[in-house]
Amino acid sequence: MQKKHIKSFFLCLIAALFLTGCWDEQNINDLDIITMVIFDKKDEEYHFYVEVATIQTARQEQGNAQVPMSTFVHARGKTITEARENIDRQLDRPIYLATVRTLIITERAAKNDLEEYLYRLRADPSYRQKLLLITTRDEPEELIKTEPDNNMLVGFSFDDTLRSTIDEGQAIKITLNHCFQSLLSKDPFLLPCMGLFEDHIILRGYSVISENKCSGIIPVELSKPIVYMLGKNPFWHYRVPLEDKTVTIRAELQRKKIKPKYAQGKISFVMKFDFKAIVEYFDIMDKKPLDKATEEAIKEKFKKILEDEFKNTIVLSQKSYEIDYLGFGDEFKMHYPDEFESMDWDKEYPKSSITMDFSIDLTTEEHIDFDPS
Amino acid sequence: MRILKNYVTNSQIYFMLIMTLTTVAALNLPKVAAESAGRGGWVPIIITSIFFAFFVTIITSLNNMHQGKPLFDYSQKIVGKFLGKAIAVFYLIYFFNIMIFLKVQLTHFLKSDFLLKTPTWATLLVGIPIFCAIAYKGITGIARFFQVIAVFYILAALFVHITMLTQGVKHEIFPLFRASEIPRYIAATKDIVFSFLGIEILTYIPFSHKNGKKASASAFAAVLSVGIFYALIVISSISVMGVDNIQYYNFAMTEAIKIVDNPLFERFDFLYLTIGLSGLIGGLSVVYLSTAEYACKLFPGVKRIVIVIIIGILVAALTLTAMRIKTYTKIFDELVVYAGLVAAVIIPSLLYLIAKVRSRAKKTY
Repeated sequence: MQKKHIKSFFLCLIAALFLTGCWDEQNINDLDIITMVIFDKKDEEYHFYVEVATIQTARQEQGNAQVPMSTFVHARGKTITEARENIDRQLDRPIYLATVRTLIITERAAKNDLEEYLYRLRADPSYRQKLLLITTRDEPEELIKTEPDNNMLVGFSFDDTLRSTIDEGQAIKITLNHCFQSLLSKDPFLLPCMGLFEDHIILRGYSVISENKCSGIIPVELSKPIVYMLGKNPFWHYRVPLEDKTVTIRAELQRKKIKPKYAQGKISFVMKFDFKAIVEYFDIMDKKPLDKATEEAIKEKFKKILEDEFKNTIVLSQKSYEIDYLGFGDEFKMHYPDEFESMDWDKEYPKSSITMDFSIDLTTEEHIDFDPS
Repeated sequence: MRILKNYVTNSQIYFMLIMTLTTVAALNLPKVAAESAGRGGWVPIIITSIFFAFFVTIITSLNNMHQGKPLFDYSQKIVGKFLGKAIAVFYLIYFFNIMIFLKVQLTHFLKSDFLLKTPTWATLLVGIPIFCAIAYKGITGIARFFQVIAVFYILAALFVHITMLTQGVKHEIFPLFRASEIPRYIAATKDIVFSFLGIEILTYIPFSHKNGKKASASAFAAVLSVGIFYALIVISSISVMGVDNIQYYNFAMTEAIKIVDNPLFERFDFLYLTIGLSGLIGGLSVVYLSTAEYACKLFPGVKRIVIVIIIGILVAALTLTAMRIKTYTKIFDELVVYAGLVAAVIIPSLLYLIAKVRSRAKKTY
């Protein structure tokens, strides 16, 4: 019995030896932890800016001295490979990319070099595919000078800002994995465009990516229907004019359905959106409580606002860009896969007819302890 | 050390089949299915599962006809000593090769997904003593282990893949079925066959009277369950990674799991690392055990411990050699389908037919 216990003990001991991670064991102090990468192209040269986090022990060793949260390293080269190798040469420890939280590509680099950069990222298993890829119109030198609130790392601040905007239903989520899939299927897609506004990081809009090149940017002011169509749990606030007063409502998208139809060689879509419109507050003091006629009037006015917004978004996509970044092709492909394969969607999409149908459920009863009516 | 008797219960048969079939094959099945049948990758999987579910009942029926004996013994009764032993040699070589292939796959999987800097020989050598110990203990121990671990494995896998479906993209998986793609689905079944190889492990498990006819039902249900489980894996992985992107990853399932966000688990793939890998080791152990069982039967004069150690040394040496051959996986992929069909379908079917004809002839006279 005792012999058996001794054997078990040695077996556990041997197993424990292998639990250290063998050759893959790495001390965090021996690595350069990267939290943000900015890729740029300027004057026919490629540039990389990487944010290297200062790890806690290094900060403690410095005592009371003011040690920054991170430092930025900049390298350039005639090719992407050369620029990347120059980054490695400048760092004193091996680079660790699994911690990257923000990947930014400037608009000018995205215009011609997005495809190669995405292929590079895809081939590198160090990057997490959950990452959110961002474009920017701002100069990288300006971005790296940002001093985020709460003394955070710049890479974390970009990521947190975008993720909280997505969680609040005000932005769409495009991960690196989505980009890889679109890269291979050659489908157009949108990338969030971020930048600085009065030293704060904000979402500026969406870059339209077609044939793996950046074709332009849709400003955030025009992006509400995009978020309704491609986002999760979207909602926006609207001020609805009513006679000479205004009503502020919060519009939450409850259901969306895009139904394609293909008949006699013609493509049409019927979009159906069910909204819940919650009256937040209004200044129609003389109409208490909210009567049926006022409710109908608010609904009609709100419907008109939605119709105009969606129409503008679709016209922008069909007529200005002539690119299906709104996902109509995906809907059509699901219902008519054989027909889709036999057609040139890029040519068919701008010609397709799109109609909209909105249903609005207006309510004032969503507040916890406040009755606006 | 006491060697446990080689009997297993029907529920153990069910879990053993599920674990042996799914743990290794599931890793690259989404890639294989997406390549060969696109979004409808689940269709050839279901077709193949029905095919193999039928043939697993042939093996269980044979075992029931010759209770207390494995294929090695009753095949000699059915087709004579020489042919019976030749069949056993075939199974020994077959399982041995499968073992080497699975070891190569496991080593590559650990290298590409988890232990990037650890040399392949190190991960390979760590596993060998464990497999040796399991093979020495016999089938009953591993069957009991599966009965426990399989419940955790199935629950964890269902949780992971259903979560993946909730985060996947609808247009990546729909339409689920296209009538115009039926010829493609049928052609794709050839690529799916490997995922169902493993039912032939039942050839070395002797059945007792306790197994009875329910053993066939258990095995049939297990193979169909595997088919449904595979379909879920393929659909959920494609929905997350996309049908074009997934084709570039050899171990597509774990790649897809890494992308999933879950409020309970920051690193969702760790769930697979703990439960999935223990299942993976279990699945490999069964193949190792199969090799050892046939070797023990063919060389009755040699001690079991000596046989498992020799197999261990040979597996280590040949796996290291195989890893150096660049075209090894491609060549193996081509050959294993035919060898697997012989092992899982043709030999049991022929033995069953001969046994049936003989028993009818006996009754007639």
